[in-house]
Amino acid sequence: MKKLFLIVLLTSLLLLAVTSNLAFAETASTPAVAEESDGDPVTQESAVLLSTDEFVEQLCELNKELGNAKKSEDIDAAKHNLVAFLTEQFRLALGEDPSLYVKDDEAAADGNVPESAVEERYFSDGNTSGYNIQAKLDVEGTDECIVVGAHYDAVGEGANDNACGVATLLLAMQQLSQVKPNFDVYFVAFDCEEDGLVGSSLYVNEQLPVKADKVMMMFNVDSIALGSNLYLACENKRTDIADLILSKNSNLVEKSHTKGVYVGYDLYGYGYDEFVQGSDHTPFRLSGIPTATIFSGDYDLLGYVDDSGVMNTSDDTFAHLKKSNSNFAERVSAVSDVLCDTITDEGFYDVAQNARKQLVNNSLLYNSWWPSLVILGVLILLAVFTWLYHRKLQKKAILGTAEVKSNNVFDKPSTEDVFSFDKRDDEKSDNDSDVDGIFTFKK
Amino acid sequence: MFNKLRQNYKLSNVLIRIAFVLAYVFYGWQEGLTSVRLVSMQMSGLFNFGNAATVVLAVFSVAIVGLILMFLVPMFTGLFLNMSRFYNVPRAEYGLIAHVFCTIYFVACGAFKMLNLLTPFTLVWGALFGFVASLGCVIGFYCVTSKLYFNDVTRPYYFRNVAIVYFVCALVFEVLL
Repeated sequence: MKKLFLIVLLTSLLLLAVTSNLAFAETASTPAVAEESDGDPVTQESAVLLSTDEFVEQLCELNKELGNAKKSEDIDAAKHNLVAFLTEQFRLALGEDPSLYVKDDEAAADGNVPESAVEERYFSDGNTSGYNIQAKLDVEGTDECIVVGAHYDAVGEGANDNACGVATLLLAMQQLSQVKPNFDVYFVAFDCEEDGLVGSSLYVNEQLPVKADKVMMMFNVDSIALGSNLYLACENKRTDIADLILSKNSNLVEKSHTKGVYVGYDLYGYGYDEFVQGSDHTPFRLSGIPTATIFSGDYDLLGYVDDSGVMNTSDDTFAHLKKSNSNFAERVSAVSDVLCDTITDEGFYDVAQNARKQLVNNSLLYNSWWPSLVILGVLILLAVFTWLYHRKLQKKAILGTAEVKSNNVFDKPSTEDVFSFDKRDDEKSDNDSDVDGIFTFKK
Repeated sequence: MFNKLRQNYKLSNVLIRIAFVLAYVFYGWQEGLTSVRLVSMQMSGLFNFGNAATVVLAVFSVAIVGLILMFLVPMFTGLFLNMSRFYNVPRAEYGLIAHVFCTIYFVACGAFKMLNLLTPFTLVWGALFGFVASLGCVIGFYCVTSKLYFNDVTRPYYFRNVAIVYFVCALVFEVLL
C-alpha cells in the first residue's frame, strides 16, 4: 500500500513537473508584449531577421498602410509601425536584441536601456517631417567613415522604389558586421526622398554625426530590382572609385558620361547638366562628399528611361515585382555583394581618399558663369565697335542724302500682271485718241 | 519663286509663320521632351504617359509656345517702332522680316543642339553658340531693314535704337539669366 502510495506520489510529482515545464515552455513561446512609450503593444513575434523576400513584402505592406491612412492619427500610427519595423530589422542585422531597446521613459531615466547602434532621427523642415533611421557599425580608433543609404519612403507600396534598396542595406549590414572594415560605416534609411530629398538633405545638414570632411564616401542604392540594366553613377568623368566598384560585378555598368547631360537639367545645382541628381546621394555630393549611386533602368539618346514603367506609381507593388522579376532577391544580393566587396577591398581606403580630388568641379563660375563672362566681354567689345560705327553713320548722315532705295519688301505688281489690254481695231486710224484699248482684270 | 512670294503678301505671311513655329519646335523639342518626362515622372500618380504620347505631348507643348511667340514677335517689333517713332515703316512687313530672322536663329540653334545631342564635341564651347547665332541674326536683320526703310539721315538713329535693344536683351538673357 505504501509502495502504491509512493508510486502515485512520484507519478503525480512527475506529471506536475512535466506540466509545469510545458507551461514554462508555453510561456516562453508566447510572444512577450512590451509596452511602447505611446502604449502600442509591439509583439516580439516579428523579432526575427527576415529574408529579402519577406522583408520587401513586409515593407511594401507597411508603406501601403501608410499610403492608405487618411486621418492624421492613422498616419502617425502607420509611420510608427514602419519606423519600428525598420529599426527592429536593423538591430537584428547588427546582431542586437531588439527587446532590450524598448522605449520606456522610466527605464530610460534609470539608465536601464542600453545604448543601441540604431537610432531613429526625427527631422522637420517646417513642411515635411519624418525619421531617418541610422545604424552605426562602430570601429574604435577612427574618426573616418562612409555612409551607405537608401530611402524607405515610397509612392504606394514602392517595391522597386525603394524597398529593394533598403533590403540591400540590410544585407550589407549583416555582411559588414561580420568583417568589420577599418572605418565606421553608417547605414541610413532615408525618409521623404520622394518629397524632394528632404530626409537626406536634413541628414547631411543637421544629423550627420561627423564633419562632412570625415565622410570618405556615400553609397546610395535606389530602385535596383526592375529595369533592364544596373547602372553605377559616380562623377561625369572616369574615376578610380567607379573603376573599383565596377570591377566587383561585370553586370554593373557605369552610366554613360555623355548621356542625360544635354538637356538642360541641373535640378539640384551640380553646376552641370546631369539627370541622375534626383536621389539621396545628391545632398552629399553637393557637400563635397564623393558619391556612388546604383540604380536600374535604361538610357536612350536623350537620357534616362524608366523601362519598368511603374516607378513612382501605385503599380510599383510587391505582386508586380514578383511577376516582373521573380529573381529580384538575387539582384539585391548582388548589389549588396558589390557594396561589401568594394568597402572591404584592400585598396578602397586609398581610392576613397583620392575620390574627393576627382570630383568634377561644380562651381558655378567654372561650369555656368564662364560663358556668361565671355559673352559679357564680347558685348563690351561690341559696344565699343557699335559706338564707332554709330559715329561713322552720323558723319555720313551729315554728308549724305535722305534718299531711300526701296520702301517695301513686297513689289507692287505691274499693270500688265493685273490687267490685259485689248487693242482697238481702228487704233491706227484714230491716233488722237487717249484710250489705247479696253482693259480687263486677269483671272 | 522668290519674286512670286514677294508679290504675294498673304502667302508669304502664312508660310513664314508656319516656318517660324516649325523652326521653334525643331529648336525646343529636347527641352519639351525633358519637361514632359519630368512631369510624367514626378506626377506619375496623376499622369502616366506612354513613350509615343510623351513625344506627341512634348511636340504639342513646344508648338503652343511657338504659336504664342509668333504673336509676341510682331507685337514687340511694333512696340519698338512706336517707341522709336518710326511711323513710316510698314509694321506688318517689318514684323514679318523679324519672323524670318527668328526662324533662321531657331533653325541654326536647333541644328546645333542636334549636333550637341549626337556628339559631346560641342558641349563645352556650345554655350556660346546661341549668343553668336543671335548676334548674326540681329546684324542680318538690321542690314536688311536699314536698307529697306531708312536713309542716310535716319539710319544712325535706327542703328542706335536697335543696338540698345540688342544689348539690353543680350545682357538679360545671355549674361544675367
